[in-house]
Amino acid sequence: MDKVEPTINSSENSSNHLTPKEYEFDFTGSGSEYFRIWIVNILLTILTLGIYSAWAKVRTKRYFYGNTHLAQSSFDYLANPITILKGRLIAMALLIIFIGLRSLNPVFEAFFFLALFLFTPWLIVRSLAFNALNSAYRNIRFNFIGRTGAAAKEYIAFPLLVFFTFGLIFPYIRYRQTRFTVDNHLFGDQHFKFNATSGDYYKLFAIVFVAMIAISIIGFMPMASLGELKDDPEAMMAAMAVYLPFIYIAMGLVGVYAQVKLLNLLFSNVTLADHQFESSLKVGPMLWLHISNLLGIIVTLGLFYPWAKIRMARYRLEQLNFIATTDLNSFTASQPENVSATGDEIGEVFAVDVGF
Amino acid sequence: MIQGNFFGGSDSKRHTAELTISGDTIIVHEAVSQQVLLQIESAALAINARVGNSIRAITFNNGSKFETNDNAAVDALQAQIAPSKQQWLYWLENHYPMMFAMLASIIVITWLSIQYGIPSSAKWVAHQVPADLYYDTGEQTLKYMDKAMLDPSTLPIERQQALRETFLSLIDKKEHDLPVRIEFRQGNIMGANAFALPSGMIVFTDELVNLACDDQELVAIFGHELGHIEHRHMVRRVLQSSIIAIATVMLIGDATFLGEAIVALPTFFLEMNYSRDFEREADAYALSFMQQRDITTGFFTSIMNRLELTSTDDIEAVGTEQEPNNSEGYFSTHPLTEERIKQFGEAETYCSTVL
Repeated sequence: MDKVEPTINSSENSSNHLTPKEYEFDFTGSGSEYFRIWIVNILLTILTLGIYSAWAKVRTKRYFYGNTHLAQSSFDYLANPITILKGRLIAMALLIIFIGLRSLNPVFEAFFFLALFLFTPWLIVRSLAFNALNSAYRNIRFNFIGRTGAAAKEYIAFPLLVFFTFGLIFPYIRYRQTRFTVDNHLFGDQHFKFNATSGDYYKLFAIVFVAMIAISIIGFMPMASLGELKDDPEAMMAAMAVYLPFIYIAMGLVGVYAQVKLLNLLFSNVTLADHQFESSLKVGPMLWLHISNLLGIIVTLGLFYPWAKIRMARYRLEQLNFIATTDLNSFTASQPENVSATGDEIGEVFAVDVGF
Repeated sequence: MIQGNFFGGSDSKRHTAELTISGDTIIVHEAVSQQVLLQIESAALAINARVGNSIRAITFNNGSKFETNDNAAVDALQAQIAPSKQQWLYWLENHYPMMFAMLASIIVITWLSIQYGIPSSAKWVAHQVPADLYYDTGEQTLKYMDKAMLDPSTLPIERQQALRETFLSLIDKKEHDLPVRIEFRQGNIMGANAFALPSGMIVFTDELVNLACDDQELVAIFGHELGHIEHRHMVRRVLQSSIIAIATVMLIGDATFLGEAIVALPTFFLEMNYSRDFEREADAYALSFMQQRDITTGFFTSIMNRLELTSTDDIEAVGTEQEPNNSEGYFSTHPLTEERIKQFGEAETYCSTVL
């Protein structure tokens, strides 16, 4: 454990409720090491026609978890690849049935997405539960106890209201979904709790909304005058070459701003028993990360991907702190149940975003 | 002796601990107090496979766990008591010559799959599907398109019937396992266009029929569309896209923005490329179709040129794609006009039609 910065002294064993201690998350993964793991994963996945992808997933997760440290201990991913493989096979079978039905009759596509929409709450709950139960810290597992019925309220019932409220309810829905996800997570027998308010979400979304409107006006107003250039296609192209990148860059900036503020809002408002998380991501460094990662991936034709993932994980974890009122020795385990990976894998195949 | 942390399993208490082995017995004791935390036979433990230099866990069957970053010591322990089946993975991951060999294998295998594996397996599957199934498929697709964008043809019934007879008189029905049929529709946003459905149905838009100044031009288009049907292109396209979609999910395995952005562009170009191969195949079919029937192949060039001039939208169709300059050929779904002229010869008919 000598790699890990001893951010706390040896008094860790003595419980002291009066002085909260700040523990820093630390990430020790390296791009070149993960690159080698990644290459082997890809080759074996290709050679086994996809079967190995379940083992590849476990190895990747174990690499990232095992390099994430907090208070001189690291995280552990415990999923059994066979369980993941079963989930993937079911998801794959569904995908093949879907493709078959769609080519028989295009109407099935609509039915299928409706069915997928209705199954989303189940997928989310199963996916979160599978991931939580297979994640451990200090030999204590996480858990997720959210129910499908409750998830249906957050992911189907409330989102339907968007149509009746001109989207005004959207920040409130995002808030409720995050609260559902956080509040139903446990570490051992201790509940996580989400303490942000819907007001925080409205403030954030208002800023994002105003910024987007402003960009649209600044960006598209001159575009309107482009109509005059209709007869001169070259001048029009030149003008577009100036405005389009401006709009893309500005929108990207707003996107990164929203990502950073949402992550901070999420993690800085999570408590576990009396302990508090704190996330202090900044827009500038995050923007630089996104741009440099994207450029790296383009220039290397994708080979930079492992470094990109490592850099992002490192930045996000290094900005995350855990402020504990006691030492971290007193969490106790609860009895875990077994959850199949089906929900998780179907979600992955059809790209259902669970957003945690 | 291995130094690390010991966790009992019932609570999160961290013990700075040392693990030693004597004979068949594993002993874990507190580093400072030397108090014995666990004494267990070596058969009762499981050692995690090594993943790089990340923290390694040794789990015991009573639920407790020992964690260490001393991977070398754990490897030695593992060799001594429970040789791992997964150690070869770590070996692969840590030999640089292997890295280059693997990277090269990935590139070669991917290239071979794209170039030969995916197209030929899709082709094989497409020809295995019984003709009956194709029949139902196509009927549904046309109904769907009728609802979505097409309107009934405004061409006189006699004109429709005459064209239908011209086309069908050129083929021997026994040679085609799918019933070849001709329909006419008003294309609306599709514009001047023709498309073939997997069932053997070929649909011409009124706009295309009106664009032709000689019916032989439409025969040329008919030959091209017949090529799509005979080669089962529509089904092969669906199969190829599906294989690519499944493969990318398997390989990238994460539905994050970054993951999607990386695969979106190459996938797009790949499908464009496949599409172009299909067009080439259909062109070759049309060419031999026309030559066998002593039809001047230049009619094909005529209608293609005119389509190119009139098309404004880049709707995917027989040849409606705009090709502003030759350098864009690689990104286009349709073979370059120049290439087609080389094949079919100079345009046979010149006329100006008002749409």
